[in-house]
Parts: sequence; structure tokens; C-alpha cells
Amino acid sequence: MFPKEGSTSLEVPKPSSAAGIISTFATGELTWALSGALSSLFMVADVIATQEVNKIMNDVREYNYDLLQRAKLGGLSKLRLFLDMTYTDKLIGYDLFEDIPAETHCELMSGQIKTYKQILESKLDNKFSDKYYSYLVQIIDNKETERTTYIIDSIYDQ
Amino acid sequence: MTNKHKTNSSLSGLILLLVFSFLIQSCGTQKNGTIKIEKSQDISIPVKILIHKTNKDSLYSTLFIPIEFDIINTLSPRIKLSRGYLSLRGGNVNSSSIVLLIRNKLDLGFMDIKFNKDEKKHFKAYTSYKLTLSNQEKDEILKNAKFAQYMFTSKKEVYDIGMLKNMPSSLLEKVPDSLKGFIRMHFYDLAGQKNFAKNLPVKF
Repeated sequence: MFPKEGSTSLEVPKPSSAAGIISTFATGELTWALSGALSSLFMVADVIATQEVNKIMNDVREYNYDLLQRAKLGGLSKLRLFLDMTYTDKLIGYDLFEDIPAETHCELMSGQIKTYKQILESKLDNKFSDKYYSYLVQIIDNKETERTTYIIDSIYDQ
Repeated sequence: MTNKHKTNSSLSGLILLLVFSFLIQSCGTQKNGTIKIEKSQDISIPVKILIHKTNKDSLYSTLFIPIEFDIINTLSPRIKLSRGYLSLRGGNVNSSSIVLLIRNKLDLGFMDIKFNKDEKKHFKAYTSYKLTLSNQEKDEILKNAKFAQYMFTSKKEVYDIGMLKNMPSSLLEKVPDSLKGFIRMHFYDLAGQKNFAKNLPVKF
């Protein structure tokens, strides 16, 4: 079974987005006045909702991080299942990189490999290895520089 | 009485508008464009084999199976394909890389590819599978093989071994369905600041 497609962002719609639609359809003086007043109310609701949603999302992220720490202790198969069944990638941005050959692992640990592309190259070059590892990796996308940073969190002996 | 009636009808009208606007909002995502992935039925690139090691009685190799597809962005003015990989076990499990064919050479550039609005890009890609061949199988497969390139830093040899439709079924059956997996692609909408993911099942 394939994992879910579509949006992988956990976004909550803002109340103010409804105000714009109401004013589009508003007819008559009273409706206009009410929709105008509602727009202001929606704007206030927007600010409050954003603050509250951020608080809740931070709690959810912390809880998900705790669950991830517990799943890590359960071994590779439990971690794999946890990552597949939860929204960990969207909440805190973790992926599992499987089948890392021992040769690639050594090159990475000794600093010879520095980029994600170099890992992929080395992985392809060393498909037949005596030993394989899996990495739990945190992926951080910098929206401004459009640069992606990969942080190896844990290493598993496959 | 008339004014009260007017107020009541205006209020009920506003409630109806509210309900209608929420309905429109909830259906909004279906009205928007999307990222379409269309798999090509005709494969124009050959199957490749990478020779890792030749033993006395067997050959360690990587089989590159071609897959061609178009990605069309009708969603947003600017979309980035952040990364794509072959997954065998789930959405967040990166099992193997996707190799593209660029200027007739294998390249690991299936990441950070940007799309403008309504832009369509055609990808000639390969999924890779570990394969051990007996000497007899090796002779049969490499009989009409053509040298293609040396692989990245290791300089191992890569050969073109013919088109997918002409491949012996015994070779393709060496990769069981459970290991074919799916291509998982992560997109980032630069204008709307949203992440999207798409799957493309691998079949051959």
C-alpha cells in the first residue's frame, strides 16, 4: 500500500479567508455593513487563532518528538513502522535512509563525503557490501536560501 | 414590522452566505491546479547493467530499469521538486536513489528541479536493483551489450543491454514485485509555501 499523497503541510485555514468570500457575495446595505463588521472580527480571530494554533502545533511537535525517541529505542523495524504510520516527516522532518553500505558509512564518518549527492553516488558504487546501515535523518529546508540540510540523528546496524 | 422582516431576511441571508463560503472553502483544494505525473507507455531508453564484481561462477551487478514520465505543474507559479527516491517500505523510507539519463549519461540529479506555471518536464529515469547473475545468464545478457559509461567515482563499467520490451522475462523476474517499490517525490510550492508529495508505482 502506498503512503498518502497530496499536501504534506499541516496547515490550519485562517478565519479571515472566509471574510473575503462573504464580501464577494454580499448584497444589500445591511449585509454589506454586517460583512464589513465580520471582516474586522475575522481579522481579530485570525490573530488569535494563529497564536493558539502555533501553541497547539508546538505541543503536537514536542509530543511527536517524544514518540520518535521511544520508537528509536524499539529498533529499526519499529522505527520504520512509526515513520510510515505517523506524520513525523511533516511535523519534525525526519526520514529514514536505508541500505547505506559500510564503505559509504566509513567515507561519511571520515569526512570524505560531505553532500547528499555524494552519499547517493557512493551508495550506487557500493551496492554489494558485507554490511549495511540505516540512518535516521532530520531534513531541514531553508525557505529563504532554498538549501537543504541533512542531520544524521541515529545510525542503525541493519 | 416590515423593517424587522427585512432584518430577519438579511440575517438569514448572511448565515446562508457563511455556510456557502465555508462550503466553497472546503471544496477549494479541488478547484485548484495540481501536480500531474503522467507515465509514458513507450520507453525510448535502454536497460543498463553496472558490473560490480566478476567472480569465478557469478557476476555481481546492478540492473537499471528505465521509466519515463512527465511532470506537469498546473498548481502554482513556481514549484520545486525537492527530492525523489525509490521507496520499498513506506513514505518516509528512502531505499534507493533515482538515476536520471542526462545527455546520455547516468546522473543523480533528481532533486531541486524547478517548474514554472504550466511547465511540463519529461524525465528519463532509472530505478536500480541489486542482481547476482550466473555465468550462463551473464553470457546471455552481455552477448549484445554495448559499453555506455564509467560509473561516477568508482569507474565501474556500465553497459546498455537492450530495450525493456526485448528483455528476457527470466531477467526481469529476478526482481520480485515486493522489491519494485514506488517513486516518492516531494514538492515544495515556492509561491504558496506548501509541501506536497506524489507517488509513482514502478511496474515492469
